[in-house]
Amino acid sequence: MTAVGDVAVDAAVTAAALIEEARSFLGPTPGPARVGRDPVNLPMVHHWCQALDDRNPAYVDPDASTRGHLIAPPGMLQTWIMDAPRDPSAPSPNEEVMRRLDAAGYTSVVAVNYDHDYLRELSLGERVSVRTYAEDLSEEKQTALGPGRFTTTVYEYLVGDEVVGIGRMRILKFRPPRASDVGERVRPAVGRDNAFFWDGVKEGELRIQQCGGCGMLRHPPAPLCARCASTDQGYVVASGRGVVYSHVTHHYPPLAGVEMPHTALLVELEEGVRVISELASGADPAQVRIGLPVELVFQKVPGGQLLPAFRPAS
Amino acid sequence: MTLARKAAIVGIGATEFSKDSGRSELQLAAECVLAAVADAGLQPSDVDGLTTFTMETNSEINVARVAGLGDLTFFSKIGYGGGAACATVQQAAMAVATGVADVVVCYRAFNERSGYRFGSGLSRSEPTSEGIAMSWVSTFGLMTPAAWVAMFARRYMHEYGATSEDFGRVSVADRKHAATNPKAWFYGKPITLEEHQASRWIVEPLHLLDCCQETDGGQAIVVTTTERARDLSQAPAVVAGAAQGAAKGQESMVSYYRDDIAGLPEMGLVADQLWAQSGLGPEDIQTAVIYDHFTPFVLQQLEEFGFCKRGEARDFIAGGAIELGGRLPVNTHGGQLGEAYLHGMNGIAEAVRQIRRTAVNQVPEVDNVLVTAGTGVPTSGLVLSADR
Repeated sequence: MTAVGDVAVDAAVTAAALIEEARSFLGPTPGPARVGRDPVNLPMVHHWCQALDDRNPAYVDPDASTRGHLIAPPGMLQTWIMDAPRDPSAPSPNEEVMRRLDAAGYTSVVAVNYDHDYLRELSLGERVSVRTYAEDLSEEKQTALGPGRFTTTVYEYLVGDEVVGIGRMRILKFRPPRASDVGERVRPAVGRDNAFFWDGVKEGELRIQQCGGCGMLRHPPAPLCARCASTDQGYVVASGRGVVYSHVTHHYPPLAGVEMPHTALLVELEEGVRVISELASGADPAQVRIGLPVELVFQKVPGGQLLPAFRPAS
Repeated sequence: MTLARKAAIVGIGATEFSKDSGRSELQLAAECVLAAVADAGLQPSDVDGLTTFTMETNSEINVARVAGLGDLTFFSKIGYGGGAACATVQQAAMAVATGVADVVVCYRAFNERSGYRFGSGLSRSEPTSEGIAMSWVSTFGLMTPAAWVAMFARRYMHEYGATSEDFGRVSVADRKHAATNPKAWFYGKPITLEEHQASRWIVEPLHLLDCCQETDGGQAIVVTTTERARDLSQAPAVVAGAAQGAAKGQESMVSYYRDDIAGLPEMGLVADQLWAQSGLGPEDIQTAVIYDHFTPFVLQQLEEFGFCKRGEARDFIAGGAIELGGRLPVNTHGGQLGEAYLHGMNGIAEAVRQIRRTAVNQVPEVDNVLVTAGTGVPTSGLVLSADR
């Protein structure tokens, strides 16, 4: 066999490495500051107060203010830096963490809680900036949304060099449900006539029946040879090389234990027999065509069953 | 000794074709059997034989009891899904030709849309030889009839240059015919080739509009001897040929291991027998009912029966040959894509109407009609002729 891989295991190894990398970005060292587009201003304060029905005169009525000047509602802290331009070439540590969570498969997000500490009041005309860092990253948790990890981003709000407020936003990054999550792949019916094949799959071998009487290779296997009638049936182990003889890509209906779209292959092995199999996880279905040289891998499918699959030959 | 022209279809009867019949499969079966017997001008007590599919849930004795039939001297079931359709008539013809029975009713009834849906895919198999055979495909996510057919279709496209549009022309023709058939589910609903191309993928290379519908309903066919048929109320549709075929290397829906998978050798086997038995050939056929659970296999069937050469069906159909007014109007009732999916039995009824010259989409001067049964499985076929 030219290739024995385990895509599911490989994926788990890759994810673990990504999480390790993500952890290296944790800690109270913020990234570059981003400066808000607009200074603290009365029109945005008016909108806020109207939307929230907040009638505190300290925000909008200079005559009623006991301070002698207007202040911004403290809850508006984040609004002053929303859409602040960022330099994509200088990501913040928390952005580095997010990238790796995405790459590890935690592609969906939901906010959990957001705490603000207001260190001083903001006055009209002040320009707020923000810098951020990632404070923590949890182990994988099983949640109702799916497996995920909690992470906290700390926002340091500044006017000039003075820290005027602190925000802590905790989010859940999680793996979105997949079609395969609805069930397990059907397992083969195993009897006397095909047990050797499935025993081989467990050991990472693709076995082709060979007649002990006349040497003929046969798939699907049979209890006796249709050519010489011998019941002495053995097997050889396939090299794993072949070409695509035909292929389909299943979209509908959903099938238990099958991720959609699903490409099934009819592979002509170099030994001369054909087998039905499937495209290995991670291989590009658009690349599949009749005549494409392919090579065997073994991979776990939903439900944990190990199955032979094929990918474009390297 | 030959079976040719010994028996005739003398009655046809069906329920309505729906998506939710609102009654049991047994009731559907009894209703269509009684309708067919009445169409023949016979009494339920005249029936002494029943044939159906192994997939049929209504056994012969249950149908006989519920429909008030008399003693049965012949009853049989044919396997392999829709491949059984024409074989039920062959069984009936053999029974009446040999005197084993006098009047045999062939039937198929199910709630295939509101009850168990064939298109939903396989579940776990037992380790019988059939279970083991299906495990070679199901374990790898190849679990629906559309997927099994798609694998053949892709290879056929590769070998002969056929395209999805070529398959689509079958669907367009069926739906054109269904559009003028009030009994058809898709009555008044023709489609364009563009709509076919735009329909969503089911299993590439098959679009939604390459796949036939699922139906609730029942269809029955009454067979007796040609001699007796001449004394009955309807013009007989004489069974000029009836044949079954399971070719070397045959599997059920997944014969992927033969040297050539771009043809349908089991249908070739049926074709050879039908032409030999009937003494007819493709040039003698005015219209045909070609099994169309999925569009691609219609092309291979046209080739296996010699209406065109291997690989040239796409050229044959491109010019509208299979539409009304063409060289060989196919599925004038709308086919299973357009009228109803009754496992091929409603197509036999349409062939009878064409012979009687009472079809809603009547082809002029019909004397001989070809009918085929399910493809991808061991199958069967009929040539029906007018008794003129």
